[in-house]
Parts: sequence; C-alpha cells; structure tokens
Amino acid sequence: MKTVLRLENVTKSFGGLVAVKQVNLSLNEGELVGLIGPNGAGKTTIFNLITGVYRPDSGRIFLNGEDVTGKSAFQMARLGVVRTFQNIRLFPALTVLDNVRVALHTRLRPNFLGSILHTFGSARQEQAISEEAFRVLKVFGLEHLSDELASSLPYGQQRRLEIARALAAKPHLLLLDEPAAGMNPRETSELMQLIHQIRDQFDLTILLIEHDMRFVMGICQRVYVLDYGEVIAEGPPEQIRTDPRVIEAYLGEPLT
Amino acid sequence: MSLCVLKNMPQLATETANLKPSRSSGGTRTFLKTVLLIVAIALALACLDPLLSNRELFSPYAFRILMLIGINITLAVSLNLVNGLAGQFSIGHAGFMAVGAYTSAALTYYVMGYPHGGILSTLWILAAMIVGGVAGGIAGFLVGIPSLRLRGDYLAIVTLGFGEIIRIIILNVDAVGGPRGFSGIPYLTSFFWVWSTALGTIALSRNLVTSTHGRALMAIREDEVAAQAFGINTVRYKVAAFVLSSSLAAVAGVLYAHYDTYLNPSSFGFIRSFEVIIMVILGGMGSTSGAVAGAVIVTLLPELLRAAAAVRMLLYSALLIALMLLRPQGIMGHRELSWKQIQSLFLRQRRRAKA
Repeated sequence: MKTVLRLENVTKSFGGLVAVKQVNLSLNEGELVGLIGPNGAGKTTIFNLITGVYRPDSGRIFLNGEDVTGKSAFQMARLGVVRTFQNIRLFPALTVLDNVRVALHTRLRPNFLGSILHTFGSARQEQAISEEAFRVLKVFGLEHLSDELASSLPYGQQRRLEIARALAAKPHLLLLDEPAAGMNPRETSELMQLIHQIRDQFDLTILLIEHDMRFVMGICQRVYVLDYGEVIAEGPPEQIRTDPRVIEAYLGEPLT
Repeated sequence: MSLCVLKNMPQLATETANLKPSRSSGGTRTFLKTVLLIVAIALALACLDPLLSNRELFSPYAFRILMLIGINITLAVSLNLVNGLAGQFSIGHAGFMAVGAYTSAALTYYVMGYPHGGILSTLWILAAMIVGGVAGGIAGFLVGIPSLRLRGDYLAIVTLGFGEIIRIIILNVDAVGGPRGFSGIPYLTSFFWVWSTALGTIALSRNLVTSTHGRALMAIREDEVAAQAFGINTVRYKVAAFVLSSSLAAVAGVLYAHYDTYLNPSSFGFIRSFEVIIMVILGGMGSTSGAVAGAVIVTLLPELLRAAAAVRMLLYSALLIALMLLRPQGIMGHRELSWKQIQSLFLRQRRRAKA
C-alpha cells in the first residue's frame, strides 16, 4: 500500500518545552487515522508541522515519498495537504460561498492582470470557480446559505463549512482538528457519516484529532496516542482501548 | 458628480451576474459593450474638457475643486486596495504620490521640455503618467517586500517612516528645488486625464474586488493563517496589492504635479497621508464606492464651510468626528453602490410618481 505521509523522528520545541519529541507516524492511502491524547500532548503542533506552519527542529516529513520538510504553509496546501482548525478559522466577513471560493483560488492558477482587467479568461475562470463552489456547498447541504456571512452561521454549520472549504481545495490529505468539538451527540453521529461519505467520494486520506472517544473508536482504522509529545501507542482502536499505557495516560479505567 | 461616476461603472452590476451561466454565452457581446462604454465615457470626458476648462463658462475655482476631487478619488480608491481590501494598515500613501509627482516632473522639466501643440502635450502627459506610475510601483515593491512581512501597527510605522524618508530625500535634492519647491513644471494635466484616471482606478479596483484575487486579498484580511492554509502566498499577494496601489497613487501625483506646476515637499508629509486615510475610513473601509464618497466629502467639506470663515476648520473637524461617531463603519460600511441599486431607486421613484 502506498504511503501518503510519513513523519520521521520529528521534533519541535518552543523555548525549553519539547512539544513534539521524536515522533514517527505514517499514513497509508485511503486510511482514516485518529490522533488522540490529553490536552497539551502536542497533537495540534503535529498538525502545524505537517501543514508547514512550523518547521521541525529535526526529523523529516515526506509526502508521497517526497521530502517536504521546511515547506511553507501555502506550499503544503498546494501539494494537497489541507486542514481544518481547532478553533474554527473561517473568513468571518466573507459569505459562505466566498469562503469556499477562496479555497478554489489556487487550484485554477488565475492571473493577476487578468483579474484587474476583467478579461475573458478571468471571467470564465470565475464562472468555473462559482459552479464548483456551489457543487461543494450542495454536498454539505449549505447551498441555501450561500449568501450569508460565515460569521452569522450557527456553530455546527460553521464546522460543516470549514470542512466544505477544506474539501473544495481538493486535498489528498485532509487534517481535521477536533471536528466534533462542541457538537451534540446527534450532530456528532451525522458528522461521522459525513466523514465516511466524503472519504469515499473524494478519495481522501484523513488524519483527525478528536477527544470524543466514541467518535474516534467508531470511525478510525488506526489510532496514534500522544502523551507529552511522544507517541505512546499506535494500532487499531480495539487494541488502543485496552493498552495499559493509554489507559493510564488518557482514557482512564472503564467504569465497571 | 459622484453619482455620475458610479453610474458609469460597467463592472458594478456583474458581481451577482457572474454566477448565472446564461450570462457567459454572450461573451463577445459583453466585450463589445464594455469597449463601447469605455469609448463613450472617454468621448464624454473629452467633450466636457474644453467646456469646463473655459474660464468664462466655468469658474476656475470650481474647476480646481473638480480636479482635486478627481485626484483624491484616485488616491482614496487606491489606498483602499491596501487598507480596506487587504486589511494592511499603510500610512505612507503621500510618499508614493510624491515619488510619482517628482520623478515625472523632473522628466518633463529636464528631459522633455515644454510641449508646443495639443497632441504633443497629450503624449507628454501620457509619458509622464507611465513613468511616474512605474516609479511608484517600483517604490511600492521596494517598500512592500520587507515591510509586508509585518502586521498591524508595525506595518503602519514602517510605511509612515517611508513617507517621511521620501519627503526628506526630496528636501535634500537641489535639482528638484529642495525646500524651495519645484517650480516651472509644464502645465499638462487636463480634466480629461484626471477624470479618466479616477474612473479607470475605480474600474480596476472594482474588477479586482469582484475577482478571485480580490477574494484572496479579503481572505488575508480576515485570517492570514487560514488564507495561507488554503494555498495563498500571503506576502506575494500583499506586495502585489501594494504595488498596484502605490503605482496608482504615483499617477495621481503626476497629475497633481502637472496641474499645480509647482511642488513643495511639505505638501507630501504625513498629514497628506492621513487625509487619504480619513477619506477611506470615512467612506467605509473596503468599499470602493465608500472611498469615492469619502474623497468627495473630504475635498468638498472645507470648501463648503468657507462661509464660516474663522471657525471653518473647527467645524470641519467637528463634522468629521460627528460622522465617525454616528457611523463608525463609514458611510458605505462594507457595502457597494451598484448599478442595479441605482436603477431600482429610480424605478421606485417613478412608480411612486405614477401612483
């Protein structure tokens, strides 16, 4: 099976704090993998390393076998690594449609001069962008809200929009940072279905951070457990659930 | 006047129309329409030109204000691209205006000389505008590359510093008059050039705002980290907007130099930059029509208050403060005046008149 993403001994520290220590992680094509661990374990830092927001202090990151260590965030996005954010980061004063259209921007390689002169080519491209954006919104059942400001949507729909925006960018690798945070159980199970559906529909490899164990165990094929910046366990959900180190560090004893 | 400007904008209505596929089929037709519209506007301006510059038909005082409004619209709309659209707070606009004004004035004064005949002066001013615009663009690039890595207050300080550096350099170059000022610049600016530049700037700005690049710039304004996470090279886009904006400001400077025929470094200090910022904020950050409205108001208001004599500037400041208190988001806020809105306004009035 093809490896999409591989982290080799990646370390990142902030001042004296080692946030991520010698982490090895790999994702195979089409896999849905979870990343769990207590608060401050370094999960989001790993996301920031993969997406190029931070540069690792040491270690390498490979995407489809190619060394992408040290690439910047916009370069990683263009290579097909797209993420959502833990604390939703939409473009609040833009409409729902525009939020999605922004994600389509770099996919079509538009030309600046064409944009300010409003040429044929740019108008046609604009049309293509809009059509595609509507298509994506429809998949997520948000098309009726296309003219609303992103900031005016209720929380659950903002989360949905964030995922829609990420998918519009046609990622190969999708990183979801706590997609179910703040959702009620019904919304969570809807989201689980949605993630399954989009993975099949869009041929995605997904890495997700989540605290909701029912969610992680129910949806992920493999799980990595992080504690104090180190991977303490890795494997299928059933195995993780019974791993004594994981229980000690994160899950706690089951109620019996 | 401002209403007329907006009515002439071909791009205003296309914002929503872009989404409808039916529109695209008439590609050549819309292209022809646009060309015709541009020709019609140019002809109208060219016809107005001799009428307005005739001192017997139109008072020179009113003419001067008309010219200043045109120049200020160019300045405000171009600054809005950086401050309003891309959300980067730049306060060195007067510096770029000075770059355009002085380089083009030096060119026409030392190299090209006073033109003899109408067609020559047209070529002269065109050459001056191009050279000034390019000089402003280069200045914008050189300032933008290092400073646009900074955000917020830091960028403001750097651009403010840049504006002052330009002013002080000019003060010390004797060839352009230094502190005495630069006099004897040929009079080349006409109503036609000022207003076609203003309208052209508005058109470029509207095109950019409704384009995918405009959206990318707005995304940077809204959330730079998220914009980057979606493949937008934020530094590059900010620099592009900055270069476009400073180049347009420089063209405004060219027109100003060849209108007044005298330049003084003191008129390009930070007070001038603040004046342009006031126009943008007053009109509504990020709104092109707002920047136009702001430019008109800030230019006209002190003139209208001349009757108040001694308390004129007091009243002016008080009015500005009152406007800002009553409408902190600016006159237009984030919205735009569109052709459709104006149409529906007229239709409504007509319907009311019938009833």
